[in-house]
Amino acid sequence: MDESSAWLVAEAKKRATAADDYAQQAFYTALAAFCQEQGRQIELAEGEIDGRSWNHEQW
Amino acid sequence: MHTLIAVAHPHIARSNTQSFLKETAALEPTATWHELDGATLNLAAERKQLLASDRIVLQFPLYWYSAPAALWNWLDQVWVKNVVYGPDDGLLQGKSLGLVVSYSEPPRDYDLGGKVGLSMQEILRPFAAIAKRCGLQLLSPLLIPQFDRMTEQERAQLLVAYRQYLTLADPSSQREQAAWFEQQLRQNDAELLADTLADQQDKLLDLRATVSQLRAGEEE
Repeated sequence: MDESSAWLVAEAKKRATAADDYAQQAFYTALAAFCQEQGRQIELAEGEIDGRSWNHEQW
Repeated sequence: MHTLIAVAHPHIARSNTQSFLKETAALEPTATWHELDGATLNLAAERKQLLASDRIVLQFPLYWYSAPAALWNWLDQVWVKNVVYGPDDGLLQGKSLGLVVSYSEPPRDYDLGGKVGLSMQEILRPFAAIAKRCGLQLLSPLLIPQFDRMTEQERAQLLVAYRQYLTLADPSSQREQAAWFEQQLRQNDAELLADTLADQQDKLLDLRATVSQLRAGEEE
């Protein structure tokens, strides 16, 4: 996961712990999970681009 | 978008699931919680409320592989010819239909070859026919198995998924979910989080566009 996604997840978790209202706590907990998955999707897409761009004839 | 949540539960006061969903729905000012208790219906008022909604959510626990009687009673009396469908077309075009279904068994019991012997898709198929007949766009159902066994993490995700189900045009769209989170963050004055989330979403969409181009190039 890249730095920005890692920061989003950590910040969302921090806010979930600090929230004094259940709806806010749930919101930030779900946000952390969403950003984790968003980061994973970014990694997958970057990996696919690397894989498809690799051309052995250019070695 | 105005959402009508038609809730049918024979023992609603004892239901932890419905109590959780009711508190969550109260966070959405454009959603109306409407309990169907099987009592005599004011048909004119029910139909007016139905027709004034952009989304109708049928919400119920699974009872004998279907919805409880109060829901069918409401459908039988309110969803009638010349109100929800005409001789040729559905009369609820432009609206959407959601299903929020809770049940007590693990999800695998409703897989093909599972203990129940019917998949959830098969069980809910009559609602797909109702949606088609009325011209409603059917959303993927929001299924809630074993609420009482859910972890805090799972409940938090359910709370947000339910809020999105009540308000987003396509609740299953990752793009719309990202926009929803961003909007909520801005309402909470969490601007830096909102900006970073939006930047990451733009990055993801750009990457996906590049992937599509590369895939298309390889097929040529």
